[in-house]
Amino acid sequence: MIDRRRVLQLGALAALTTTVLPACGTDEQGQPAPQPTPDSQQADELALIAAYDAALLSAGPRATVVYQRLRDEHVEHLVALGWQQPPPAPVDANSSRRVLIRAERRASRIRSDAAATSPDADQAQILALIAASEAQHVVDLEAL
Amino acid sequence: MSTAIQAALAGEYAAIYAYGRAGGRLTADQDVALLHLSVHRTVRDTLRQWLLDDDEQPAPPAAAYTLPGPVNSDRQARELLALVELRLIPLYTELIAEQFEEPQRRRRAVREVRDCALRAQSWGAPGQAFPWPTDLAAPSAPS
Repeated sequence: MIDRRRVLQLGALAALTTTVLPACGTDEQGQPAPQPTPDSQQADELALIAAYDAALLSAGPRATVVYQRLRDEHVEHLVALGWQQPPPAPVDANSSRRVLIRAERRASRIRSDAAATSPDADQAQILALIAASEAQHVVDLEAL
Repeated sequence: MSTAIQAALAGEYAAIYAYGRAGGRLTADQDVALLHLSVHRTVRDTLRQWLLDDDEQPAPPAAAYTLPGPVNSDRQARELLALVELRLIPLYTELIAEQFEEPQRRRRAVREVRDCALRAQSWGAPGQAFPWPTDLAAPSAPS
């Protein structure tokens, strides 16, 4: 069952993953490692991280601080959802505060629905917390 | 025995008390506090009804509550309200597991986790990757 210790573990695991794992996946011979296929929740978090990376390329100083924090929280979500690869390298794509707000609102709704229907109780609890976090992101972005 | 429903009900009683104590110290956003208080009363009634539906007697509110600190200023009032909202989150997270086989109740608990996090944020709590009260010590028992 989830408790404070488990929540702390989720954050620590994410920190470990983002600082220790290499920036891009390669095997011992330097060949690109095969990438696992993300499930729908993981794919959604990867897309959000990519959207923040794109937005960070042209963000002002104040937005950069907020975007970076929210982006890092999505990495924590991703790890909690079982993804053990580093996020892909940033790509140059269009993103904006309005796009991020829409994406976060959608993500929170999807995560809530998943929490309400997940066949696994622990996963349902984690998804509910992620949905809450993403709802907070909407507020943070709207305040910018 | 619906332990998590009783625990969430106790949390709602505490939140209603806290809003009553803090509301008068706010120098702005009293209307927001009143709205949130109304929501907590509605949730309290829902939880009581769930227990009655399960042939259980809802526990009454505590005779007295100990506040974590003085509530004499707007800042202290906001800190108290942020804290009580965050402290509800583990209770509703537990409710998700307890009411796992009850789809409507589980969905309601999921919504409460989100709404408590948003209300905590509205009173000044910082956003978190996994919204949770930072003042609660980690349990010593293995998870």
